Amino acid sequence: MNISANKEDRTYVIIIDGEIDASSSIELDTAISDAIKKGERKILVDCAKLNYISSAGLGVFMSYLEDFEEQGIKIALFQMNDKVKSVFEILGLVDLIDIVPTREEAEKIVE
Amino acid sequence: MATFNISRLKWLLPAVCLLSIGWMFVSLWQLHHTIEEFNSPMVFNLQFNVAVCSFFLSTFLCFKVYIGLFKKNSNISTLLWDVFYSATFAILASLLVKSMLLYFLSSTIWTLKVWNLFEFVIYTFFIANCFFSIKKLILYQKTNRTIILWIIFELSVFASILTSFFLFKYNSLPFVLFTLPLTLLGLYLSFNVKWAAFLNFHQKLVALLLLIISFGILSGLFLDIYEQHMISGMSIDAINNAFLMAISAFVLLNISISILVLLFSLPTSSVFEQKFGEVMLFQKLHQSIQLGETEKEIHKALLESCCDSALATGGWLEMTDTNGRITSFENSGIDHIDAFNFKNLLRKNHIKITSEPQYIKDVKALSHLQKINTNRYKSLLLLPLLSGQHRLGTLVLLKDKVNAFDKEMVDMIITFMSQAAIAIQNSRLMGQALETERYREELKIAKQVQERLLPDVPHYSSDIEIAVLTGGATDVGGDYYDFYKDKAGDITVVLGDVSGHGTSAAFNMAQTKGIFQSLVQLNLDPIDFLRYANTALSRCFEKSTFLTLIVIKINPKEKTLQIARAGHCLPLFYANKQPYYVESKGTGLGVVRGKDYASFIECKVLSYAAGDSLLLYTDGIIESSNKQGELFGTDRLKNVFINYKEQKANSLLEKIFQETKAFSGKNEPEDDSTLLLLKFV
Repeated sequence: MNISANKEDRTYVIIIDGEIDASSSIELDTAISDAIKKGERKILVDCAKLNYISSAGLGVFMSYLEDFEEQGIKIALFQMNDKVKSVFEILGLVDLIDIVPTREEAEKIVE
Repeated sequence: MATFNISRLKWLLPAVCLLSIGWMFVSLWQLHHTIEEFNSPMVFNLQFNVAVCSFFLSTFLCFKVYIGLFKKNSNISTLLWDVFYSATFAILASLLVKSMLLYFLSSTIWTLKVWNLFEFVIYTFFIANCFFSIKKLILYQKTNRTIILWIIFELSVFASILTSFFLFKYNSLPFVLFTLPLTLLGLYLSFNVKWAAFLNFHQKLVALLLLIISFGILSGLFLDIYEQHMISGMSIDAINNAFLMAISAFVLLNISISILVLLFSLPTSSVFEQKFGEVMLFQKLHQSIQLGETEKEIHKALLESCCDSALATGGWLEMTDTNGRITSFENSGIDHIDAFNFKNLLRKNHIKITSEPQYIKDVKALSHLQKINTNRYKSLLLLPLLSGQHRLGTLVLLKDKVNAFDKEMVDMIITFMSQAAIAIQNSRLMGQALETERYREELKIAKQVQERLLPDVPHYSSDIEIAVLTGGATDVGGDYYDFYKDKAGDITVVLGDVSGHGTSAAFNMAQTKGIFQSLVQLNLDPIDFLRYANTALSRCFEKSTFLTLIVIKINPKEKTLQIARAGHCLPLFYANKQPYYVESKGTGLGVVRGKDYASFIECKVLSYAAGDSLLLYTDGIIESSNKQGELFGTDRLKNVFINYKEQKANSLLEKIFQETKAFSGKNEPEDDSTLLLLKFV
């Protein structure tokens, strides 16, 4: 699992590559909390290479929902494969976090 | 018994010694009166010679016992001071006796003879003390060979006491035959000056001074004796005594050799001291390894050892993790700001840390020196701390001289570093082992807690068959199920999965059970049940923890099912010979906090008939994967269910389990998985 983050013109992009299990969820947590600390308001998460997410990984997204709302941070996940998306769906996270097919749509959401 | 003997010997020997002196005096008195003639040469007198022999023997034994027993643990300095004190005492006593006799009594032959006797006694005392002090010095860091040689030497010396019975002239052949081999052996033994190496510069100076003074006094006393030898008619001619001369020669030679050795080793003693210090530091480092000290303490020991042995002005040790992030910083002789400036300097000069040591002979050769104190720090040594191919950290040493690190020093430091790397690895492994052990214990407890939280499968009525199967229990998971039948006969069944594993999952499960057992008694409909549960769990759980739960409320009278799903896997309903997944909106418990949770869930009401069944499961079942990374998935689960639907509830679940195992090719599912089947008959 590898997580990288790029500060781009108007957005902050977190790219996840690999599987997020209990141990690698810590890195995801660090990446998101870093973005919040830096004061980023428009966060995109590239999930094209995310092929598995465990409940711990879902827990990470979940734990920042309040922070996103309180601080007015817009976040959107894009290019997520169906397998991973179904996990978000079952837990009902799709109602709380934007998951869209393309980067363009994600950018529109955070703008 | 031994102490009794020693304490007796302690008093016996000096007593014999004093008696011998008295005896010598008496025999001398008698001789003086029998031989009236002045200047008559000394004749053989048995009584007098026996007295002399007994005096020698008792004196030497006395000192042997005294020094051997009561000064067992004295160090080199104390021994040398003892020699010095005895020398001072001897010269003072000799002068006192000489002046007293010459002042109070006229210079008769009798006075001379008494002076001669006292001089002889004092000289013997002094020589005996020197002899046994030297013995301790020679046997310092002894080898077996030295011990054997010494024993031979000492026995020969004692045997030579008997020569006192013969009146040899000091230049006669028998005299030489006796003394020469003894002196040669003594000379050979005198080259055992290992003790000199263990003194530092200051101690060596003191030792040198003490030995030179002692040597001077000894020579003075010897000259006195020689002077007496020249006056004929003296009572005892020490010069002609083979025993005394052999020992004197030995003592004088030994002291001279020691003086020379000390003198020549003075210039190199600082190097020896430094090497010795390095060895001590190495030992310190080694001890810190063996004591299993914390990593921080090992870092400190390493930095101190390296700074001390390199005589560095300052230095720092920086530990980094696998991502190159600094985990620990230790500095010595240089403050944080200077160290930071140096790090900037290295970066600006594009000096990267590699697996090889890097040496900057002259800091001034670098650019961007504005913030650097180039008077204090002139040369720099950069060393990686390596464990195998893996870099644990970096050590930087600084010195206030240009080109001040020589090859030996760098080699020494590299050795230190490899030792420390082992120590650090060991301490890490030890920490990991302890952590694992603790974790295992915790898991054991958590597992026990969890097992008690799960209820026995109830048998409520003959038309509802309930079966549960759990697996993959190598770890403590968060799967939870529970049942309740209220007074009206309605049956509530829940199956849930708390996120996370291990101890925290077990505790979260305990909280879940508490909430279930209290809410279920309020006879709520599933939506309200989940709403209250969400509020309660949101307060109990950590921010990142959630619970997926499915609530089934069965009304056996009306044969209806109320199904509410909170983020849990969709239940598989088999009705009218058709299996399908009951889809509904539903967010996990603890996911939405402080909002109207009810809008995120819905409740489905279904009717059932005999022959229908409802399968509940946790994600461990559908997420078991095969070698290709494919998941078992809901479609396979449905197919397996159809294949075995005719079986009894328990064996149906067994079959599903076997199929998932066959699919994944593992004996146990990776994740914990639970199957719960309600079969309506």
